Amino acid sequence: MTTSLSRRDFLRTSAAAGGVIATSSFFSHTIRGEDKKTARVRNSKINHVILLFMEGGPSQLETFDLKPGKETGAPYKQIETEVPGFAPAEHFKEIAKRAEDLLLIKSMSSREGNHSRASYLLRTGYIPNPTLKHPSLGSIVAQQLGDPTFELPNFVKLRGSPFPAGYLGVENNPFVISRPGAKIENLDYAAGVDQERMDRRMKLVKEMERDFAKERGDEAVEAHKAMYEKARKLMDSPLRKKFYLEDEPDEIRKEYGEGAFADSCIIARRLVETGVPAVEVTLGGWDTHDDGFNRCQNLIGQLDRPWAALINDLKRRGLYDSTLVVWMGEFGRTPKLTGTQGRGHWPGNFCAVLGGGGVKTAQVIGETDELGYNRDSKNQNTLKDPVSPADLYKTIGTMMDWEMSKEFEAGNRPVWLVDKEAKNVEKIYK
Amino acid sequence: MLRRSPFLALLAVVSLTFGVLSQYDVFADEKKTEAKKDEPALGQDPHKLADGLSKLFDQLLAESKIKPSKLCDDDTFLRRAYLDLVGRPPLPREIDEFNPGSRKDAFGNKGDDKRPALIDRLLESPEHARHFADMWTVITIGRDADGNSKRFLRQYLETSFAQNKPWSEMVYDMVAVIGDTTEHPEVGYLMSFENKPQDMVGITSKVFLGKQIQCAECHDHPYEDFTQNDFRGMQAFFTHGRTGARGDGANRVWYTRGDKVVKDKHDALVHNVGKQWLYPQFIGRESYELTLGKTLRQSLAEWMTSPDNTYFREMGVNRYMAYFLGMGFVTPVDDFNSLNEPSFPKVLEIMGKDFAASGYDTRYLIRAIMNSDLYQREVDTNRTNRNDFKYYSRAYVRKLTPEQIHRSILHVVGIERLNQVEPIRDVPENQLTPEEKASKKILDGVNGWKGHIYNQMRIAYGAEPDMRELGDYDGTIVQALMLLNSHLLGPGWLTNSIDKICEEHANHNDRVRAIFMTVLGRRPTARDAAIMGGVMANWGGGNAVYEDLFVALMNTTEFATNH
Repeated sequence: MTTSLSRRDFLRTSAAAGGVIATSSFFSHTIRGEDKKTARVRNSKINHVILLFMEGGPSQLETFDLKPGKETGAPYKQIETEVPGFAPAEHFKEIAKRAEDLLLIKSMSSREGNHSRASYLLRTGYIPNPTLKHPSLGSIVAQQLGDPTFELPNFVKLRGSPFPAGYLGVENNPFVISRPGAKIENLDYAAGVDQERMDRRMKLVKEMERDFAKERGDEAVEAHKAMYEKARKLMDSPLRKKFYLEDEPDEIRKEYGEGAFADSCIIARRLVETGVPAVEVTLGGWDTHDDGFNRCQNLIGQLDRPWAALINDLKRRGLYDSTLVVWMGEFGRTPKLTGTQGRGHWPGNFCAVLGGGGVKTAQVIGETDELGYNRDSKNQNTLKDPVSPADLYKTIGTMMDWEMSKEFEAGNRPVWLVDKEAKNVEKIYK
Repeated sequence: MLRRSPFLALLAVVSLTFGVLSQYDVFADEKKTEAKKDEPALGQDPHKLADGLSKLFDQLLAESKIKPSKLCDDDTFLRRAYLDLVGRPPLPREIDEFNPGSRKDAFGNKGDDKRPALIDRLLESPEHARHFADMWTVITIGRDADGNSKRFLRQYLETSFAQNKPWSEMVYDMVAVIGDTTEHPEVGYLMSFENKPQDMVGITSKVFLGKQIQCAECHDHPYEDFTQNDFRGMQAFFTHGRTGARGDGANRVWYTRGDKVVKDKHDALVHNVGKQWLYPQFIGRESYELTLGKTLRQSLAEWMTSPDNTYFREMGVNRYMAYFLGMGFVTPVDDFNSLNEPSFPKVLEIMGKDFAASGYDTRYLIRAIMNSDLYQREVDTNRTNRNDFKYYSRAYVRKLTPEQIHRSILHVVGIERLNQVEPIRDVPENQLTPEEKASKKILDGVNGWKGHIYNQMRIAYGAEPDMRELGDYDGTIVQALMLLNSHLLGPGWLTNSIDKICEEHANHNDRVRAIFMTVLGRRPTARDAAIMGGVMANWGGGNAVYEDLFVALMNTTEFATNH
């Protein structure tokens, strides 16, 4: 990729200017180290990641860490499964049948109780930093596993807001589809434009770019060119149909059920099947400060069937072993109920569910006390086997054999894909 | 633009502070005396500050053995100034009026007066107020704020920039406002925070003071002397900064509530998030003298916007240095901290004082920066300044912001200019005449497109409210797809524009020239003409050829950047 090479040169020449840029970080979005995929062979059978991200902070007490009959509990029944400790809320009719294919972590724990900060942390494994933008899980996977010449984007995000790849550069940004299944805007040529006219437009652009680069330097031109090459490839690719559901058989669509989340899950499977390494599917609405029991029941109704169908479908196609499926949100919710049957933000303990490639499923990690707290009355931590977001990233990185010891460069400072202080949670895969 | 009125005093004061200017140290004492004697009144004439900056950096560059790039030509300057001040490239008519490369413009300004006159014209245009309102709405409350907050705040900012209201007054209004949106649209600022005082203080302090104390919300600041108590002390000023709404539909207004005038010490004691009782406290633990007869937010706003507030005046200067030159004295632009020292602290200090002395006159500061050589250099570099990221020896290629791209696309394709509609009466739709109905349909289409394009740009760039920084040329496929395939570039919109151009110009070369001026904001060079000749030779005839040229130019780096 010429882009990154030129960026690297850009940085090199900048660095050559000595202390000039040492006090600033205005290259916060650039990266050095393009030699990534040349020699290295990854030692992992996981080739895809699907992140099911629950925006708003899904309540652990209404999903996977119920406290029935207790003052903090929801008025839900729980479904006992063959896996001890895996007893989801009664509305998880389908997921309850898949206990053998899942691993539940009840002891996710962080200190970020603000939506945007916590979302950043759970999406990247780092707390937000005003001067450095970290890539999200999908961008990391796209950069580590993605083929830069692949016609489809290496990271597709279904719904939700765009989250740029930060120091990993524009080529690893998510391609966001805001209305999954609907016609993607601007993917087709404008009315009256055919291949020939598009070609001549691009030929003229190329000529103009050459002159501009000569006079005004090539950094901007190279980045611009990379963006257009990728766009053109996508526009002309027959694989585009994978973004849509038209040729998906009815019985499969029925299995996933209805709704935007269900459609997104089918598209996620279609993309993974085609070779897209990273897909993120968002389901929002979990910020249940009020009326939590009804709202969570409704949300689980949207979630349960598509998620279970996704697992079944991937298994049938022999893809579950090579696809890591992660379910999580930015934090959990307070055990103490509000006066309006809702719960506040609670990062101290919350749930994440992993399944698929490399995961040692049919087990539960972590435990909260009988009321769902992570601390006792003396404020001592009682949470069993706490897992921090950074630990989770480190573990996923280990399972997928990311280049975690490699120093990437963002501006003038070294950065690592995963926090160096984080620890591996071996239980997840051993 | 070197003028004959040297600003030696400033130069002298500034020179003292630089180790690099070692040879001046010998004259340090002498210069100090001279400085005292001749120190001109600050804040009076922006051209003096501009000249002072030009001269000072000439000296610094000479000391560092860096040869600056040449000053840019008129075409380059014209487009740069338009994009920076009104958010779009110049129209062909405006290019002709400026008359690039010739001695005199259409307004009778000659030679060295042409550029300052252009800057003045643009600063006074309604489009400038609109562009700065867009820009400041994004800087303050961000692209993702709710629609009503954005609408009201924009309205306030646009009116205020149009009147050139002092910056200190604008910030005072936004922070201290009491009342409702019918009379005080600036309530939009506070209401965007949805009653979260911790967000109000985080953004207010970062955007207007350059102090990023938000980290101290959850833990003591890692490398600054901020503790959680400092954060809470600042946050306490916003305890009464709640906003609410009343009425429905068209009658709905938003207002600030709970503001209590401090009558005695007890009124200032607030129960804060940390469940402690505390008094408000300014950043840096400057003690807050309880002011009776004012609300807490009024006291805070007064402290913030005082001519003596170094944070406020230096943040203002740094913001505009970064905006106009691609790089401020402090980078990131709004992160002043002890590990992030300004590149030229003394220059920043003096410019800050100057800005305050001008009465926080934003246009004064902008005139000073834009009239200086620092702003008017070429992008093209030489061997000595290729790697200069400190001394402003060259201009940088700056990526347009989503707001600039948005405005540029709409303008270039001409959906407002070329699909003009008659004024429509403000009456219920069933009372409109058929002609008015037809006009309204076009207008709705135009407005729909405006909103739609903006939304697309938001997706393409993400919702990051920060100003883009140098070296960041990232765009996404989404942006490319839009500029290649948008319906805006098809029948009804672009085709109308092309038909118009072809109608006005019979000759092929004139049409090419008009398209260059429309899209790129400059006349084609001989080299461009040669390229067009070569590439377009086999394209055949008809207006489609010009559509292709038009769209191709819109997809160049030249279009997507300011340079």
